[in-house]
Amino acid sequence: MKFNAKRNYLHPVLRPHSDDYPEGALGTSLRVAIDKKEVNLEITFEVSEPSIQAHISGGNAICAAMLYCSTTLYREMLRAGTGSTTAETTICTDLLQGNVEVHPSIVALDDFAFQSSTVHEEYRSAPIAVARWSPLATDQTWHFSVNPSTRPAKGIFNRQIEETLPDGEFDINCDTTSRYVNIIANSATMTKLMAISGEERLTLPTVYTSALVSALAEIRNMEPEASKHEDGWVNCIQTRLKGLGINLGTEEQNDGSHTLFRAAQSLLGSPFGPYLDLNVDRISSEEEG
Amino acid sequence: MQSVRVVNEEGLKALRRLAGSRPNLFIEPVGTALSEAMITEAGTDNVWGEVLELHNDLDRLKHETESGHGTDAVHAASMRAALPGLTPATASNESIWASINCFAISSYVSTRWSTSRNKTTKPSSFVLDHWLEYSGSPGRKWNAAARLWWMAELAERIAPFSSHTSEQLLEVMGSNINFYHQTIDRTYLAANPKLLAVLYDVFLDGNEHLNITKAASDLLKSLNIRAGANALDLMDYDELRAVVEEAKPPKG
Repeated sequence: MKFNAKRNYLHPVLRPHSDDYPEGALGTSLRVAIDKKEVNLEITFEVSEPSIQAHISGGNAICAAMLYCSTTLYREMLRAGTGSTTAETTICTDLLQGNVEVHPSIVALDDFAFQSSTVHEEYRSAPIAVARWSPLATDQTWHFSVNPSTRPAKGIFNRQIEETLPDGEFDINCDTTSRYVNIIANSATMTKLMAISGEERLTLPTVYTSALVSALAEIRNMEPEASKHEDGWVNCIQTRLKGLGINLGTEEQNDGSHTLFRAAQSLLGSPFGPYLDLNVDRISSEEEG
Repeated sequence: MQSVRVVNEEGLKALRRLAGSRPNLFIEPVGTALSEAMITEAGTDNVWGEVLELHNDLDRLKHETESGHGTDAVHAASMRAALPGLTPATASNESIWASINCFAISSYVSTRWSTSRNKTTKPSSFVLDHWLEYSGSPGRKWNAAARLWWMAELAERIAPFSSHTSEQLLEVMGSNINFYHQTIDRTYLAANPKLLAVLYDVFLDGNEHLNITKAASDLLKSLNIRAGANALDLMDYDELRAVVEEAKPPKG
């Protein structure tokens, strides 16, 4: 039950980026508690539009949310009771994996007609007819993650050979629809990188950190609804960022790539931490001197 | 209960590379040759991750292996019955499927999808597709055993809403495979067992063909438009049936 956001209805629909109800708003809040066995989920609807409030309390409309996990093809309708604005459910974690979407809406239970002084003036001249199972209001989609990939940050990279690249250089491909971030180099450079990975602890993280900074920049700038691989590097990084409590912010908020650089280090377990601290200490003592 | 060792990222990558360079290791499994080659290819013996304790009845598949090629429906039912401990969450993990295909049921997989059935694809691509491929939406791709397991899983989910049995549903899904793939790649339809039940019931009752016919394609398009405008998930069986019948293009 993911209503087409661009559809033109014959009746007003309270939804984001629409002025069908110039003053009204639908806000939803989602509470998700996940333990090893179960996901408890509660969604609460807050609607400020009086006519829609009246439809709910009068039993003409219900608050509902469609829960959908495309990975496990699981789908469930959360349906609030008559007159209620809260719906809840408990789902076994065996049925969910990865990203789960929740699509909230308020839906007409019957055919009915109404008039309202708070709708857009185009709708005020005559009674508004609403058909059973049509949306009266929708809110933006919620997302949460269950049983997320526990792959280490290094596990999101794939090494790709491209002989046309010059020796000593490497390239990064961060396609969001791909499963991996590709680190690309010619075979001679790749062999060198791999050969020193066990001994020279700095060089390999250099490659990974550079690739992660590119990947984080891609995530920071991507549209929320951008297409991405279900089990790909984007979901993996986003889950780990959330776990570490890191907010990438926006490009305007960040000073250059410093935030991304720090975030990349956190994801890799701070390979440059001691190196940077050493630099800071040295600069401090120089200033003191 | 059988323990299935699940390959980790390194193991999976090594298997993918081996599929390209030595596909016969998968097609003609000999003892531990594949696991040893995987360790050599990875350059480390750290290729194993978790151990999956799997309730299973893999002996069921021996019969299917020995009895030769049956229909997808028969094999799908056997695949799901042989792996009753597999949950949808674990069945969404490509490492788990790679481990099951390559190490737990390798003789079944190599018999059912032997190269003799492959007339057009390069052996390396054939092995990747049939043994190792697993990705979610968009562009869902399932290896052969996973495809069978999911088909049976979906038939079981649909059956309680249908006037037909899960065996009948599996039969129609398996024999109209292109239509089935279209249904699982459409968000509004993929996981809606009630709507899928109605859809298959309408076609089964009318004894009509589903595979890439223009009528079937037009119906799915029409339902897609309807799903964007009405809460199909809230409708009961009779209401959904009316929607599907209305969306069906006229015959002739």
